[in-house]
Amino acid sequence: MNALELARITKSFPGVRALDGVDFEVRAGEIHALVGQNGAGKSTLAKVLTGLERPDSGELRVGGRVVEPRDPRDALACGLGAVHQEVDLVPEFSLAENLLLGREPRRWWGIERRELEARARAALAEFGLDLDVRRPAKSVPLGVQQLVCIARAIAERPHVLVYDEPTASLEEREVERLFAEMRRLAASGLAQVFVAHSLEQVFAIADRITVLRDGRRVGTFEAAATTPHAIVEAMLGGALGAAPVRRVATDAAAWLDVRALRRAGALEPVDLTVARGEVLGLVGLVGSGRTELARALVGANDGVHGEWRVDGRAVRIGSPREAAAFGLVLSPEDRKVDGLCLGLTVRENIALGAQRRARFALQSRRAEAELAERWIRALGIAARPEQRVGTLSGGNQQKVILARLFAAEPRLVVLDEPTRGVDVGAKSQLEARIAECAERGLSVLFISSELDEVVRRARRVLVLRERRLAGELVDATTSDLRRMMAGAEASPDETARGRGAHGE
Amino acid sequence: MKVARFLAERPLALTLVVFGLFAAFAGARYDGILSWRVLANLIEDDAELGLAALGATFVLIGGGLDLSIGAVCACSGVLVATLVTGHGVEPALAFGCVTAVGAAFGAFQGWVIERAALPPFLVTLAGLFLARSAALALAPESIAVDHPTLAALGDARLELGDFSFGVLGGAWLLATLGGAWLLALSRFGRAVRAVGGNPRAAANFGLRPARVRIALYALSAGCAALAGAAHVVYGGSASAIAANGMELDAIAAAVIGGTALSGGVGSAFGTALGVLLFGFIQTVILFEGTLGAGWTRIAVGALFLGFVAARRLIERWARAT
Repeated sequence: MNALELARITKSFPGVRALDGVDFEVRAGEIHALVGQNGAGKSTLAKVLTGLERPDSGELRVGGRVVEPRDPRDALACGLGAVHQEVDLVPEFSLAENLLLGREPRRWWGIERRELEARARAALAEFGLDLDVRRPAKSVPLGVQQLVCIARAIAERPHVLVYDEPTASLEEREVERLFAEMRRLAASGLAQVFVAHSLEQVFAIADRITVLRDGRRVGTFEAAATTPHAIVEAMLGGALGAAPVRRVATDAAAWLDVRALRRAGALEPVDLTVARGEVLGLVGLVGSGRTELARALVGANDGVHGEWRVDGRAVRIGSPREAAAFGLVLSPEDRKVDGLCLGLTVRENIALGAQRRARFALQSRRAEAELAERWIRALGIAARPEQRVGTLSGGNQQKVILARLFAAEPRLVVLDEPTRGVDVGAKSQLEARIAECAERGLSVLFISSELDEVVRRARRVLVLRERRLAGELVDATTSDLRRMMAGAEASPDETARGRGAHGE
Repeated sequence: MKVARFLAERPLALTLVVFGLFAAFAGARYDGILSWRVLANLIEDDAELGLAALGATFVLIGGGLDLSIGAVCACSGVLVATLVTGHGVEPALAFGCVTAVGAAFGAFQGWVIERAALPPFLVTLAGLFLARSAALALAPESIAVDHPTLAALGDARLELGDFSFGVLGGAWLLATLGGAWLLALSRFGRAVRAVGGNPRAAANFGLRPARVRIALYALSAGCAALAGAAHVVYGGSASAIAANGMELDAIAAAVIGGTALSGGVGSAFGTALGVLLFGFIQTVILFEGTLGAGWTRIAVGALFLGFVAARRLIERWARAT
């Protein structure tokens, strides 16, 4: 008997049929990956499974029993546990309070604190985590917070555990740890549904893979008997040509030259140069100072010091606004907080980027609409110009950010994790778009956790480790980068230009 | 900088520091202001605002806002007066009735907020208009309440040496203790802080944020209704225009006591301290003698602004280190 069965699940939103008669089943002890492009319906399906959305029609069976979860609480009671993409902890609460929220042990006087902490410790220990459960959730790293969320979901003893992109905020090491835990849970008979973006991860963990496209199930594949290429073809619905790999030379003169860029306690002095039309890679583990460097470069944090030279001329950059005046713009990591006005429409957000260039205070609405249409087409954004950005999927939001950046016609863009949460198809569109812009003279500082993406795009890569520059590699392989990120010093021949190795 | 971090992590600490400085200043300037008698009066005088502010604290911690507190307070005062003088109802029964009616009114507001997904600001503003005009319709003029039980309640004192407790102060103290217990040790309190701190997580954890918030508005309006009853006991009369703007005083007291407007953080004792600080300022102005009542509001406004600015500065320092 299957642990979970979905029969003809259909769900429509105004103007979209998000799920169209989806059949889907998960066996006990199986890790079942759910993949598809943005808008293919995998998030909606995950929401149906976790009680966040109710299907218009169709049937949901857990362990053979028909269930109709009304809300997350109800879903839990039906045996459907959930781990969400964004960390679901109350920041002010201790880890113990978070772990046992709603299930606190009580005595006649109320909640028994010591018992609460003991149980939390036991739950974490079972999960292989040794943490001080009295610490507030906000004081531990994001990756650990996500593991705590999972420990919490498991503590509910669900029949099926649904992960909605749980690795989005995790470091590689933490992903490994999560996968080890998922395998252990699978061995104990738990059925697990894994909604994922990274095919590398899918193939590392999944037993079977179900592909969704346009709200329909395209097929279910045994992971051992298929290839990433075949899965991508199923996702995109057509044969896939080899992706063009173009990397721009680094020999041109430095356009931007920054010396001793630093911020007390957060970033040790870093020198860096970027040539016109160069794509410069920047890698490092979470917490290595990547995002700090990105923000410092455009003056987005207080207390940043350094000497900027643009085209050989010394300039002073103290705020993103001043940086933008020299054509330096940042696409931030946390797009919802830093990057977009969610209440405004796609057109308005894109027009915000161009506003600085506008000759008059008021832009004509028609010009704005044309600008928006152009970028919606160019980046393949699945949205109408008058749609509010808050209603778009993550990948499309990321594209709107890029559209806004490019609409400002910058000289250098700093892209901090531009492909996080973006599906495979959109990723290659984004990459192609970035390469095109680089060819026309735009410089790019490309920050990403996905090392294969970095080595594909950038010839020269800077490696940060523990808030300082660990070294610079040219034509490096992903394993070179990984080694340096982890702590090996650069040997002279590695930093030398023109090292022959390409790819792994 | 250690000091800054200590203060930033304990919102109540700054309140205590400000209170201490203020008391030291007042003690040096006026004879007899730091006495048990003054404290006892302070508690008795502030019980009405204290009860209302306790309810406001809960709503704020849960991430909401209740603008109807003053109006509900006035309305329930008038209701008590009408019941007791007009219909001969026993005061204790009347208190119970108005508290229940108030809680029901609050629950109704909460239900509208949740069902229609409207901002609490708008719904409780409508509640303010409704309750205030209901009070006016009920009693266009001020009603004097003359009842032996009420008089006895007003005069009853528990003498503890120089210090003494009246019925109102006692009720406030008990309510504050109850509120503190709820927040710290009950599942409901946990749920309130979780819903205010991260509603999405609370929902995904299997709590029911909507129910929690409806309960909070019921609690807030219930507290406001009790404050209305306290008003009648304290003044021996009720008026439809009483407690004008009390909701804002209540919110200010809660904020001074360490409650975050963004939700998730706050304490019952902190709010009580905030209320006492307001009352103390009034006492100081009284002791000064030459200053008019307008100066109380000026001093309160200045203190409030200084306090929130200081807290923001301290947070910034703490983060910079």
